[in-house]
Amino acid sequence: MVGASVRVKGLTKRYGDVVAVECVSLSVERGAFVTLLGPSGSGKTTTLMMLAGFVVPTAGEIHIDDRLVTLDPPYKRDLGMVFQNYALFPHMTAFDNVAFPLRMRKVPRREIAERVERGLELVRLPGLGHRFPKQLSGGQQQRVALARTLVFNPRVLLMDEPLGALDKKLRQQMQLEIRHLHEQLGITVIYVTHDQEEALVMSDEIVVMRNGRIEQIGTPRAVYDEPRNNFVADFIGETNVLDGTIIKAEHSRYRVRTSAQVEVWCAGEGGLDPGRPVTMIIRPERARFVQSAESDNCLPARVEEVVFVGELIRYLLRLPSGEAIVLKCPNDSRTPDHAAGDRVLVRIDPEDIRVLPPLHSQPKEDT
Amino acid sequence: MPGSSASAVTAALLRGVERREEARRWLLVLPAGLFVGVLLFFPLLRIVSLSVWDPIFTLRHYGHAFQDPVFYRVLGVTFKVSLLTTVGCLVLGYPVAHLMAHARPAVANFLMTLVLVSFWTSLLVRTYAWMVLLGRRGVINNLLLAVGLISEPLPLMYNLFGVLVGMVHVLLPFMILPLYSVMKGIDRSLMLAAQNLGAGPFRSFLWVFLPLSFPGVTGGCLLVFMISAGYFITPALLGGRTDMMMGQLIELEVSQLLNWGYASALATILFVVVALLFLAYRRVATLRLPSGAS
Amino acid sequence: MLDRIKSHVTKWWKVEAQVIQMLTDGEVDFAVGPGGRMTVVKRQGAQVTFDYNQGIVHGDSWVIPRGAKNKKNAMEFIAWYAANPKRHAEFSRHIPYGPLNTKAFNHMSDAEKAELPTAPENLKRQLSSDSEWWGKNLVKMEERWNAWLLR
Repeated sequence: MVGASVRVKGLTKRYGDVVAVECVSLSVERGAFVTLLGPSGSGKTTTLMMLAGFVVPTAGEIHIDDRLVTLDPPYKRDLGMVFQNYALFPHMTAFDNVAFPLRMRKVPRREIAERVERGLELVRLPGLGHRFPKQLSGGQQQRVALARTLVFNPRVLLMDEPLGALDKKLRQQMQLEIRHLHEQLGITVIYVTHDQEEALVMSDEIVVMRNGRIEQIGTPRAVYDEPRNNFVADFIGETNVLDGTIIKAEHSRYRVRTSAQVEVWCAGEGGLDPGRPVTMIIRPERARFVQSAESDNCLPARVEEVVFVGELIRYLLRLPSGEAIVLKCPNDSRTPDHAAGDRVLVRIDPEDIRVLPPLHSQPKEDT
Repeated sequence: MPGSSASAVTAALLRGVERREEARRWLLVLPAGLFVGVLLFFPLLRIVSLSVWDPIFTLRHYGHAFQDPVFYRVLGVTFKVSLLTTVGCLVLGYPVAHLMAHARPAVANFLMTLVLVSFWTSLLVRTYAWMVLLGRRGVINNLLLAVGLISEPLPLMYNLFGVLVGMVHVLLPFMILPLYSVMKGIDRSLMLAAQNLGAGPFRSFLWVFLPLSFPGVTGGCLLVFMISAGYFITPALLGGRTDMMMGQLIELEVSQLLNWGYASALATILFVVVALLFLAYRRVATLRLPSGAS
Repeated sequence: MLDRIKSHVTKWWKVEAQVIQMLTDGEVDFAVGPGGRMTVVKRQGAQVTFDYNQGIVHGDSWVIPRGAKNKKNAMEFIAWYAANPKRHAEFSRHIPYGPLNTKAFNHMSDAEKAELPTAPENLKRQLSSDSEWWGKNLVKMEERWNAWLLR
């Protein structure tokens, strides 16, 4: 499983003056599960549509299995696509839906029957081939759509928010199932979603997009733990953002003074000079309550709101600077029972504070 | 238990509310119901009764019809013309509806206006307009003669061709509108899916779009056929000697011969035949489209 | 005779306006049509001419329904109009329908007479339609006619 399955270079799509996708370059390894993640309007679906051949790019190149396909029509690309609304043919049974790509490829009748049966078994729907889409539940329709795209062994499986219409439980179940299918078949998957949790759960690699551009490419862990900028940090998971100024730069850490005039140590790769204003990014689950200032990196705060979520408790705290900070604590016996109004101390380990240049030096929304 | 009896009372009250709401909805259709009842249903009954009471109960008008070769000829012409008109409307209307369903909203609206423009003038005016175009010295013949494509005027009118041109023109909107409304409801991602799965444009159309547009085809064809079957002005003006349709025969019996009983019998027969055809077609259509189709 | 010309006939017209239209539009070269309207379009300068030879004369009648409310007035009107040849002549000047009262022609010029179907010179070259016979045979003849037409 080596070599690029999909290579995209400088892919751009403009509608008049509106830029939908701007110079997207990407290389997807054979057998990888890559997710395009971003808010609506970020260009992720347009990118997928260009891969599938439904949208002709304004500029750029698409290679699939080292073959240039930029100008090939969709039906010659051999890519399987699962649509948001499944796009099952309502006038055909599940069997005929799954058989469709095989019939289009003039596969012999007997082989079709065999492969369709196997396909339906693969998505755990054996024996439901005679049903029409209307007679199937949302999850079952999703499975039929999957079987239909997998049955002809496409080079790449493209999925456009395929679980968006399902309820949460079913969605989670399908997430795992799709992942297992991916592992089982070793097929390259390019998956589009706006749901960061889904992206984290399913992907080998996440491509975070905004305003038609790629903001960051990395493993789920990398984009979560080491977001390249505020946008990525904020879009993936919940994030606290505090302002501060570097007062000392050491080999792999900074001393930063927060707006609340408290100094903390932060881990960092270096490259930022003392005196420089910065943004500190802190994940809510990485901060914790401490009884007393047992060591460095403690911030005093006041509890403003306590929300019981179930497996965790969410605290909204207010710092003396007026900045808000959110804490997520596991719902266990070690978490102190704080109520609104309590004065507390919060500690964050230096390696859990990520220092970035401040907001205004990052790409603007409207470019 | 007091609780359960209270909830039973609530349930009864809610049922009452529901029933009243439904009664109100029925009340609202009362004017339309009366309108149709008085202006359509009652005259229909009257026609049927005219055909069998003359002046006492008799079936002689029906007997007359079924023994008259003219009746069979006219019935045959009626169905031939209606069928050809339907086919003509389908062939011309399908691509138009297809274009409208896929065009941008502004373009679709514009096309819709064009389709409906023909409703702005009366049927008679439109038919006369065709006479101006199709005549021996009409616009088309004059043009072709001037260009030198023909040396003698083509017989474009006072024959089946003229009737079909006029009727297809008049009835085309009745084909396009149901087609368009069905096509508009076809999920566009289905065509994308078909192409993605390896079907080229033609096969995507054949396998996916065409069958899904079938309810529109059925509806449009039925509508056009049924209106055609009762047509009378256009064939009378544009038709030739042998293009007499049932409507013309009925008109003749009424206005020339004052033969109300026979005319009513003819009208009733036409009605029954068209109704039977309608039922048969519906049956075929529902068989072709099982519960899975939207 | 009809059998022989049948296939050459462009249109077996039903409405009188239609035949005039077809003649003036050049749709047909030759037609049987209503004299009154022919006269009018000819006067208006249309490139047509016609002759009463072998024409069929239809008469119209004044009718008073039984039990009519204004029977007396109606009778008076008929007496005033029908019995007066001068008024007949005047009527024919406005619309070229022939008077049935032959004395009316005493009040007309020769040119005026020549246009009218009931003028003695024209009348003797025509047939008159037998309303009694048609009253009895209309239905039968119409059926025969239609059967023949559709054949």
